[in-house]
Amino acid sequence: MKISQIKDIAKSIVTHNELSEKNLNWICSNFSRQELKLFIRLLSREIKDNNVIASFAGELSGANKKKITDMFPNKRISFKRDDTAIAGGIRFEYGDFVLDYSVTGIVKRILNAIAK
Amino acid sequence: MKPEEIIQKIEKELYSTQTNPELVNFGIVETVGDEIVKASGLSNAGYYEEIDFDDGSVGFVLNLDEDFVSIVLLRTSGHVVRGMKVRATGKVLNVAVSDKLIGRVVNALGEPIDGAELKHEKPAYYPVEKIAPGIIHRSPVEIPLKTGIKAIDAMTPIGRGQRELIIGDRGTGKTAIAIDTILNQKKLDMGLKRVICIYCSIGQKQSNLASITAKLKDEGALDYAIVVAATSSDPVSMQYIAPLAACAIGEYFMDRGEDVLIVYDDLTKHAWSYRQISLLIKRPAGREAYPGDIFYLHSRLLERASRMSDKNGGGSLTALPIIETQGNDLSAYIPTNVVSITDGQIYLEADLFNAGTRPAINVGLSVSRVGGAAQTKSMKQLAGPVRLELSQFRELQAFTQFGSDLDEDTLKRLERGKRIAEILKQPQYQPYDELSEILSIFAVTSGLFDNIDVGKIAEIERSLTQYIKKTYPETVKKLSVNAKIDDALRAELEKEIQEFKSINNYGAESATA
Repeated sequence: MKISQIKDIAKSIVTHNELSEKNLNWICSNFSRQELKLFIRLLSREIKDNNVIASFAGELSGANKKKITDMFPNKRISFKRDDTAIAGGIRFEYGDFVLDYSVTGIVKRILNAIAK
Repeated sequence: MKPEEIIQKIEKELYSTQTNPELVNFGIVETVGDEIVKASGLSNAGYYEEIDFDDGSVGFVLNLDEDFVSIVLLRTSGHVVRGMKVRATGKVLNVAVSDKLIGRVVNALGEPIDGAELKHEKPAYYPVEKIAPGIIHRSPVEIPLKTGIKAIDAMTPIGRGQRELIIGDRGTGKTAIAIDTILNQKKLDMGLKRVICIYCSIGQKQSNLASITAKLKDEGALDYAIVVAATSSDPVSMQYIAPLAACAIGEYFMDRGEDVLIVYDDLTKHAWSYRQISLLIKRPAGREAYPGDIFYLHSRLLERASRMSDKNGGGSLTALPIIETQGNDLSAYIPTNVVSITDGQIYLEADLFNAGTRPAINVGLSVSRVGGAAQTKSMKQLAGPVRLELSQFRELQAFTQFGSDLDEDTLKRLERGKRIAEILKQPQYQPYDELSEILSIFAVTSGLFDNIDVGKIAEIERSLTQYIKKTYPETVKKLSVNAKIDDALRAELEKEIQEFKSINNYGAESATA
């Protein structure tokens, strides 16, 4: 099977957010070991790319949640409250990017700059 | 620092802090081994980008694959583990440069290793990898870089902006030539502007480096020199980066209009380190297990040596790469690569070295493609016959082994050749100025030393130079002007040398062997 085809399968599973037992059995019996390893890797990458974790401190209003959802169209947003690590502001993690708008992040940058 | 100064600095940082969000590209360590880390993620990482690890280790990206990147560790705490987060810094591997580097011994990252602190004031950050200046930005190599070694300055002259390879087996004096060249830059000979010297030690023993640094310090060379070191005990990644970092430091001074000399000692070990890294990151191996782009590694490094046009600062970067051959094999892979890149080579032979000819330069195989363009008119005039007479002497030497009777002309050539070979010998750490070189070569090529015993040539040469400088300052002045030696000046010099000989009674004994 071509890599592009395996990529499309992984993409469609994540887009439709479902993997039936029938499809799973088909994949397991039709993919070689190498293809299966590649499929798992591509699937986990797709899941990572399609999910956004928004970490915040305190309370987040519904309106702000909607604004954040609009910032990342076509992606699944999960909101996580973390008062100790964030302190204030918000931090987004999506794919292998971190967009840090938190107070903790700013303080860290100041401390690093002073240390240099 | 005083408490008030610390508070001022903190306040300055607070006011200047950007509150924009920081976008960080991160990855996760998947495998670690042999100073190579494979990390997943880092989808936005670039080639040669600096990567920070959670434990303070630093590396740079050398391979970009579909699902992971290969990071070569430069500095490691030894605690890199699978699952650790790594962060792309967004900047290409660079080195901080400023005038504070002069006189210091630094590692491949520009960090001091000579025991003292290094505080740059407004440093510039130069990337270790940089595209060489284009043709339009360059000007021809015309200004000499004096090595102070007669054999080189006469027959294989080096110009500022040239690349001249020093090649030979181990223990033939390659590093000695480089160090003598650095020491000679103290003289500011011929009124030329100063040359900042950078000695880049790659994969050498620490004891060697210590003795070289001590020598440079004793001779006052550290006033204008920088030592960049990646010894054999340093990680192979540092040995790989060291010449690139040294070149970046040189480019900083070149961009300011200064002349720079950089010695890469030696590129053979640099090739070995690149081979090791390439094999570890599973790049396909080519000839002798070197990666396919080993030529490009050295060509792009050496192309950064240039002489810039006046419009682009007028500075220059002269490179003296050193290559160690095995068993005099000039036709091996790496030597042939670098010979084809450079603008000439100085070939040192072990046989000549063992026979007492030091520097052990094989005149026949050594060449400078810049040639007379980088010589003064007087030196060019004198050096012409030297190479020819020497090559004729080497050929005729073979006949003496037959023991047959030789005609008078052949005997004369042999005697002249012996004296030329003797005059080209030179002790280590005693570089000559232009004037002394001209006087020595003139004396021997004009036949004035033909009736002097070969064994006394070295001693007489030294006394002659001192005598002329002291007694005939007018002659010295005429020779210092970049002009040909005309008939009048030639007659004057001959007269003065004859006078010197008769005062000291040289040449009264028979000169023939």
